[in-house]
Amino acid sequence: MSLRNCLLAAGLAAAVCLASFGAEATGRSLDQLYQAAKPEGKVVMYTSVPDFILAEWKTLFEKRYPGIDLEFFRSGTGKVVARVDAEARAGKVQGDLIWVADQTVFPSLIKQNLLAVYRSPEWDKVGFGKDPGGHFVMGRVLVAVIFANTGATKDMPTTWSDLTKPEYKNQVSVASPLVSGAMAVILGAMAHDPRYGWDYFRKLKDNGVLVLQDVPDTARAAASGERPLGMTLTMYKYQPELVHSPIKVIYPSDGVVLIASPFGIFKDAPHPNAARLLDRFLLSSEAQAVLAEHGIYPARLDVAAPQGMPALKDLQAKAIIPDIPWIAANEDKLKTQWREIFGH
Amino acid sequence: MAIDARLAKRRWLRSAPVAVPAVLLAGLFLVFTLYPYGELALTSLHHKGAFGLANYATAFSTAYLLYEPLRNSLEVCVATGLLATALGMALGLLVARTDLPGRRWIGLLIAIPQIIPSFQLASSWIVVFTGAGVFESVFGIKSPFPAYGAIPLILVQSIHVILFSFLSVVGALSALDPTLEEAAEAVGLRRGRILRRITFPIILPAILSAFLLTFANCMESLGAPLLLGTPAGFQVLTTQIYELATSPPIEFGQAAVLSILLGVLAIGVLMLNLRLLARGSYVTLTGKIGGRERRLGLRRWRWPVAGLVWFGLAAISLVPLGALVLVSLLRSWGRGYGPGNLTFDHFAGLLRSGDLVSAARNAISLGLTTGCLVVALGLLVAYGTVRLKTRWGLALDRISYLTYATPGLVIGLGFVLAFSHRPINLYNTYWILLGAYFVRFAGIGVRTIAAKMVQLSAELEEAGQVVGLSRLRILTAIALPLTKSALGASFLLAFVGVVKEISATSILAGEHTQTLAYLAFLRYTEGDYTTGSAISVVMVALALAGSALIALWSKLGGIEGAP
Repeated sequence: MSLRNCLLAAGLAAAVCLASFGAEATGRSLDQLYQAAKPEGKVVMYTSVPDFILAEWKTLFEKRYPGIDLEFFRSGTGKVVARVDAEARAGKVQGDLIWVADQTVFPSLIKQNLLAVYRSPEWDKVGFGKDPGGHFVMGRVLVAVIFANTGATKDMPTTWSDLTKPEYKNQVSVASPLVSGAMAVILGAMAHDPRYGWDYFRKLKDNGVLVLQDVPDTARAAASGERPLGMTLTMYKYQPELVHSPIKVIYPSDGVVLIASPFGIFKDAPHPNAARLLDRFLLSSEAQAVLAEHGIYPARLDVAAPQGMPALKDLQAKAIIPDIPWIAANEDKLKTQWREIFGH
Repeated sequence: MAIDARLAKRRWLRSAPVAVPAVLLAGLFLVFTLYPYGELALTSLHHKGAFGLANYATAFSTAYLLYEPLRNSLEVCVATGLLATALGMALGLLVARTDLPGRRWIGLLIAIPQIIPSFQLASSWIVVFTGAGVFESVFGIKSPFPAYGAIPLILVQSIHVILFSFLSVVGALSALDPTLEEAAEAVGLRRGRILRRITFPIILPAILSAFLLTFANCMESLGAPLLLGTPAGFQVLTTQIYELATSPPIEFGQAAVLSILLGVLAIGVLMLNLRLLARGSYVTLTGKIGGRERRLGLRRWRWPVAGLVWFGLAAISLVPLGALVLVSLLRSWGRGYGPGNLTFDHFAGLLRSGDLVSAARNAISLGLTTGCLVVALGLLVAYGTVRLKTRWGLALDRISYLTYATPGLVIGLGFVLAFSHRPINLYNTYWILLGAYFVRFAGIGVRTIAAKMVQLSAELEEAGQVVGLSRLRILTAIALPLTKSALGASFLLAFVGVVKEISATSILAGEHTQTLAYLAFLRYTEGDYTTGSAISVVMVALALAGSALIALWSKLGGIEGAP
């Protein structure tokens, strides 16, 4: 066989492979996928999605696909990524699917060749945030806002910049971008926006801001009145212990920060079929509706937005949209600069 | 004769039922200690694939990486050491030398904040003293303390360790021959002078040793500084290491540099303490033969002092417990702390999700297994050093001292570096936690059991030899029953240690190997105080029960000083 034939054969083989991949993605019915996944027994998700949402998904998933247990490793984005790093170094990632708030994590996962290519039929229902390479798809849009304790705050702030005013000295808390993926994106978005920049964070620091570990902690601090104003995400208003708390959710008039949060399947997923089944489940109308019930904008265009929240389109007009490639490229610098300002 | 003894030793070592498990256990212990230390040193020398001192250069040239945390650690821990030692000493003197009412119960009350893990004390502190916290809502005035920063950290850490100096002072005073003080009284010295010229110099080594112990304990603490210091921008060595090792971009190299520094500091302090104890011991060993109990009458100060002491003790032991239970029952934040806002939902939710049960099972199983390993190694090493006086026994004894002094976080980091790849990959398993706990707490068994064995005469065992019992039989029929109390105490100490452990666990736990303490700690750092507290209630109950058993067992076996 000549070299040319050899290349041709290889090319053909590759094409067949790709075609079969594609066919697998769209051709297999949900039921066929379930039957293939059943013997795998379980599926493991590495995620920073809060417990109260995971619990509902687990119930829904296991009811719909009996015989497959949905398990989680749940932590802040930072710890989830640290976990994947450590397992990759050890030779094999033990999870099937990863879903974190910080989208900048994904380029580096792709670079390390850790993600599988999988475009489920549900991709068509998602408006934006789809990886052209097919490694990940956006599953929800998080909204960064200000929580204000209605008992402790008289004149409510209306913009992000208000938080640096003397009347709110020692009233504000934020999360640490070193722990929270959402905060890392918020930091990247605002530091890169000429209206705020690093100057904004320096002013926050001078105004006595408290740096708690994770975004839900700032929500708790606002609710309890410990720090009546917190930079956090709408979804935490739906935590069981905050539902009845005296909190007003303020959408800053200079724009909320919109965080598109994607997920993807690991290339060496120990439960490959169950992973794909879970992938499709997470984009199903039921799973997406659970998000909407908890103040998160679903990725699917045909699932209604959270009740009582403005239409995503209205927010988008003025929103601070994170420049993900820029944040990914400047990740180390952002964290170093943060450490220099806040000491940690 | 010497040759005979050596031959006997060899024969004993060669008897398979003893030798095989002994060698296995000792080997396991060595692998679990030397390998992680080596890997830690290697990692500190690796930077982006190159070998060299780059990590050291970065650490030593970046203020926020090393100098600031180091300075903060030293400041807080010196202050903690001084405060805790002063308080412990004052209470010790009151209990051992005065007629303070209810003095018997003081030891019990200051044991409570020692049994509660320090991260739990810290979260209780936040809940009580923060703006709009429990204090403000109960008393209607502004909280007298800041919620975060160096001062709360010093206070919380001090409360946690008062017991050390208290026990140390009480121990030294009760071992002190009262005739010295009586003699001074007889020649007409006043009480203040006696205290200053005689009592203090004699108990000084015990006080210094207590200071070093509290200082070392503070240096290695992770949970309290993470909750109380970090939000105020107050980073200490442990929190810096934790962040470098758990927040991306992960910097294992720099974390290793800081860990080595912290380890060297901690081990240095322990060495100092050992020398101090060796030098000071000759004065206090006379016992109190024929001495009568000498107690200073507090007279008109008796009730005011008692009031102050009792109020303070109730505050540091019952308030943290109360705050813990209160938050575990809280329904909604920001709706006050009254009975209308309380619920058992958090417990119910934890039971439903199965998290609580699996975390409790992990904690108990790891605690029991670690306890067994610690006792087995302790017995082996104690026998090797005290009875057989072998070199290997002495070596293991020294190593167990070093690992006991090594901060948990450093052990955790060493383990993750050593056992997350070939040839021994234990990442995310039960075994990596068990190994780390074994290494961390082995020193307890060795120390406690050796101390007991020294007290026992070897004649009994020799008698056994004379009547022709095998070595194994002597061990099981004579040595084991006689050291039973020490075995039980070290088993329980290791158990309680494991139940409370988070420093090593925070780096090593996987999703199926979370323990109660770790799960609670995780929830606190994520801001989920209510669920965190519910988990903590179960953990603290377990630790309290274990400690109560220790106290009971020690009393039966005549061992003093539980922790």
